[in-house]
Amino acid sequence: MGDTFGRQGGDPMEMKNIRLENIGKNYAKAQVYDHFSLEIEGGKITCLLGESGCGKTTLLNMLASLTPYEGKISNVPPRISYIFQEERLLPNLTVYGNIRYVLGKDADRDKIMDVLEKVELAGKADAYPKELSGGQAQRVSIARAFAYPSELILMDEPFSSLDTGLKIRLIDVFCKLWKEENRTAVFVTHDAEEAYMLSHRAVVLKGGKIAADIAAEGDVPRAYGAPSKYREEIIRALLGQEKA
Amino acid sequence: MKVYKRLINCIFPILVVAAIFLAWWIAALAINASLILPSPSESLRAFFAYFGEASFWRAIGNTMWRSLYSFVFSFVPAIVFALLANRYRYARKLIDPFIAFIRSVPTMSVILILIIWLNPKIAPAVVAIIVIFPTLYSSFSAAVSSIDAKLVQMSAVYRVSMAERIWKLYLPNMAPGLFEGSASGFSLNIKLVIAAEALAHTTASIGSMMNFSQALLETQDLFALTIAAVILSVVCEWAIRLVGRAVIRWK
Repeated sequence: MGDTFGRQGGDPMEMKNIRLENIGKNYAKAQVYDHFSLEIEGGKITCLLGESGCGKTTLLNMLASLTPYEGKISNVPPRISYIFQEERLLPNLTVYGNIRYVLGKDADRDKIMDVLEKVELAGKADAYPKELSGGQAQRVSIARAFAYPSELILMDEPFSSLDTGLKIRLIDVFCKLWKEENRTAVFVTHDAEEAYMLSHRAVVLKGGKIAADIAAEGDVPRAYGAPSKYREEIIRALLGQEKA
Repeated sequence: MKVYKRLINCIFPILVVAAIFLAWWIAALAINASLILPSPSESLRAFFAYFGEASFWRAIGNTMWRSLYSFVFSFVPAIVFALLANRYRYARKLIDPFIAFIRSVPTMSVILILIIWLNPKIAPAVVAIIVIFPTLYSSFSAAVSSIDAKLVQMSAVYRVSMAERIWKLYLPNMAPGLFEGSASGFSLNIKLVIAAEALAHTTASIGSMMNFSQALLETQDLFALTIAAVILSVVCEWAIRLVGRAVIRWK
């Protein structure tokens, strides 16, 4: 069965792994990455964690070709969706208009309304961003990412400014949409709980190197606060402790 | 609260105009020579007397038409240059010295040189274009620079076409600056056109009518024409701001 936008999705096998090989990146005098390599599994959600300034957002920006780098990144799909930390909605366009803006010629009213329905914002289609709450605006940003026919979704701490209740609801909304197509997703956060709830694999970065690479079992979203070995391992890696 | 705010917004300009007229009236009384300073009532009488003269309306029409097309000829390249300068570093390196050069040429020299070179009907418009263009370019450049770089980055990630970006991101977000710059720019444009008309002796224009009034020492007519110019300028500025407010509903 085709997805909301007519692509034959849903099979993770179709999504190629993205390979970062010997990546080098400097900012002024600071070296962020030196001979860094990582393989991102297609059709899964990979979470990047680490302290502030460890290069998580830089890695997303390299994947999105927003910043130059040395080395090779292969199998990056031509179309990418990006959910930023802030919603980045055009203030002069309505909720519907903001989604239509990124779709261009591919825009179809029914399909846009369908994705808005899924994020429970169909009733706000004609509202301007200033009329939305923070959570609603971030839901529009998620809807825009899924409405856009991409094969890779990048997320840069999209839930960091939200309260816990809203965060859990948005993670549910994200997972509901993600499961329809199983697009490859790379998710940056510094919150172990978010990583545990919303990823299949957690990569902890430290000093431009991979400090820990932890794979999880089971499906997303995971229940908030439930005991989990995956979360424990993430926290241990963040604290720089050895594996139990 | 809204009504109170609107009332305050109306009352203050009325008070300022009333204070100007009062000061003018007191000065006219003190001087007591209408050849030097006619009273507000004499000037207003002369102003209303013009209403019945076809030549006055023809002059208003000609001056306004000249102001309008010279403004359009400044407005369009100012937007294009502002967008180019913002988008391409090398374009800015070429445009900025060019603008600095135009800006540094004294307005009076431009007027006098163009009067020699051009037809008196065209010269005032060209003067206005040369003087207004750098002003509009600066305010439009500031408007382009104020566009949120994060929205530009988002548009790049989602591969939004340039046409779509100009139409939905750049122009609407520049709109507040465009309307503000245009409102003050158009008002200045009218004044420049009138000044150049007076110096070029452009027939059937407000500027030439002012020139004749001054030559014939009809000071109250000169004041009446000045009132007409002020009203034109204020009404145009207000109309542009009103259109701006209607267009920028999302603000």
